[in-house]
Amino acid sequence: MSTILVLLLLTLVQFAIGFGIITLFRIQLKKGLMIPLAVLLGVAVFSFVPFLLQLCHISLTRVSIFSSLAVACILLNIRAWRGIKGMAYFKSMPYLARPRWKLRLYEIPFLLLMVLIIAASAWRCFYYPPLPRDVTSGSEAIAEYAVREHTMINSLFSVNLESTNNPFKPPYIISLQLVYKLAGFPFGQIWLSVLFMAFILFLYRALCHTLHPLLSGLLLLFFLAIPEMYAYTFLILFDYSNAVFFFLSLYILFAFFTDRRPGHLALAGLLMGIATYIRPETLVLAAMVVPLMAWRLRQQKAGIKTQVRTAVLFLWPAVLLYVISIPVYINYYLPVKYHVPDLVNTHLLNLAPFFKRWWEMNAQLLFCRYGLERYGYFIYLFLLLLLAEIVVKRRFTAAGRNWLYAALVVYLGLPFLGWLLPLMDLDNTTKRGLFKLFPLLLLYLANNRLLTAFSEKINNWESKS
Amino acid sequence: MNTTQGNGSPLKKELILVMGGALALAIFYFLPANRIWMNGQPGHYWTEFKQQRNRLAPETRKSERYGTAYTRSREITDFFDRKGIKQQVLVLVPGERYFKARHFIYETPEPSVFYYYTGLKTVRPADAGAADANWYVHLQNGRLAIDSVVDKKALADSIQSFKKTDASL
Repeated sequence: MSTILVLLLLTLVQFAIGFGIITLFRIQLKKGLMIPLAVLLGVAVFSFVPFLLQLCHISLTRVSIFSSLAVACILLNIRAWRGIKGMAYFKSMPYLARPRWKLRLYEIPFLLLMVLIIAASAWRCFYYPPLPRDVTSGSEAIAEYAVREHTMINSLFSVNLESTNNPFKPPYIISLQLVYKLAGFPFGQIWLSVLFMAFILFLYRALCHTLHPLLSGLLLLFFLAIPEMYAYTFLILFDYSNAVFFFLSLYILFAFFTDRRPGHLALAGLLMGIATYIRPETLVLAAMVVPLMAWRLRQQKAGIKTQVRTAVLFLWPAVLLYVISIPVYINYYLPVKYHVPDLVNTHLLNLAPFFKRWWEMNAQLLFCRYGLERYGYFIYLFLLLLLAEIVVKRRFTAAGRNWLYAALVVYLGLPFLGWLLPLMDLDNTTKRGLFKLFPLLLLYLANNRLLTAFSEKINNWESKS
Repeated sequence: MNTTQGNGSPLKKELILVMGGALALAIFYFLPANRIWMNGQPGHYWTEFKQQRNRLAPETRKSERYGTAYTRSREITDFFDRKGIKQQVLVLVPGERYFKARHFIYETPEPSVFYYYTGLKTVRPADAGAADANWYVHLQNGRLAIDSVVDKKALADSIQSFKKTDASL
């Protein structure tokens, strides 16, 4: 029971931290998205605070970490607690003005099934210790010894590390494992379930904004039933979290395309920064989003200066977090040398590996006999509905185009990264890198004209008395 | 829940949608890959949950998750724990194929994972620091044996022998 209470308390603090950030950036989102977004932002802050303490050479004890989290929570909520001005802002928030969520009878079977699927994952996440070799030879091992030695630069680095480069990955998992281990979870890891639940809730509410709940539930079920992705909801690794924050960044960025609110751009940049902090090569994908941004701004008659300024504002958090977590941390903090530039392809004029990787990604991962076992029917469902929209409607919605472009960034970006960084192999890095693709396809489906038209028909029929 | 409308019609529509939803769920479940996934992953996990909820000791959960990689590594470490010299030793542990060739199941963890499991520092035969090992693990009469290094020449011979068994090291 106490375990559940501690978990609830941690999640509550995450929510409070995230709420503070949402208020700080004056984010205006549709109803139902604020709670999961706040929790996800809270998880991100949890993943950064211990690292920040480490950068400041502060001992990583229970007192230092939890007091720092409390201070972060207070500081981020100062604006929210400021009197009248803040209240006026809250009143303008649609999700606070009408916080009711009307649960309909027909949603219940879908939600029940989803709860069973999520709960099975959460139990496994809680019950088992971390398994992937990438973390037991890196982040998890460092976190385990950080609990005892109060530093991330601990005795693990005195072990023979010839067989692995995992201790040199950014401290996203180390920090979260440390917080949860210090909070009384011997294997940490349960933060992944919090992230998973919040993400699924966010997706469901995002889908419901354009689709009927029945269609939203069904699509989300197909998304949940991507076996490879589901497996990584209880196996801690970087890719699932990376996919979550990459998606959130684009979701907020696309909101910025519509309303041009500076807070949305700033938060999109911050979220992309977090995604880059989790997996540094995301920086390349972030840069690939810039042409879409420029195109959208051009459509709104923005000048070249505005386009450049917007791109810089979007990218700088990702660049900053990359610099801090890779060159600075590895070169100036870690006791063992690791030369990142050695990882970059030295034959950049030879594009053959790019096409080879792109072909392998399709032939050996997505569209092969084992493709169904890995990724379920989701990709086929997407292709079917994409084709149907092209044939029947002959054009996409603006939002649909955004999501398709984003999907293309991942679809071409992964082979590009495989070409740029030869260590990124097909069977592990690319296979899990594809996690980033699926939420983008899901949101495209939420804006597919056929599905939105069908949803409208159901809604009209339902509302007629 | 919105089921108490005065007019019966909305409720009727809601029930029709419930049936539509149930049909959609049935179609989802009867697609072969979904059915295999549902039974194999979440379904199977719930079956496991019934036993796991009564076995909550962290050591049990680790043994269950990591298998012999953990239990045998623990066995080796206990040896040094009993002698009180765990912090002072560097142990040469041959690779998995060495054990497999002798029909002994032990998925040898790499040094960083071994250290995570047990806190014992190990080294593999092909690692640069292998010659610095002061203890080594091998098999004797089908059982794990742990010996101290008394002669550097003998250690070098053992390293070569381990490497021959497992060229991947």
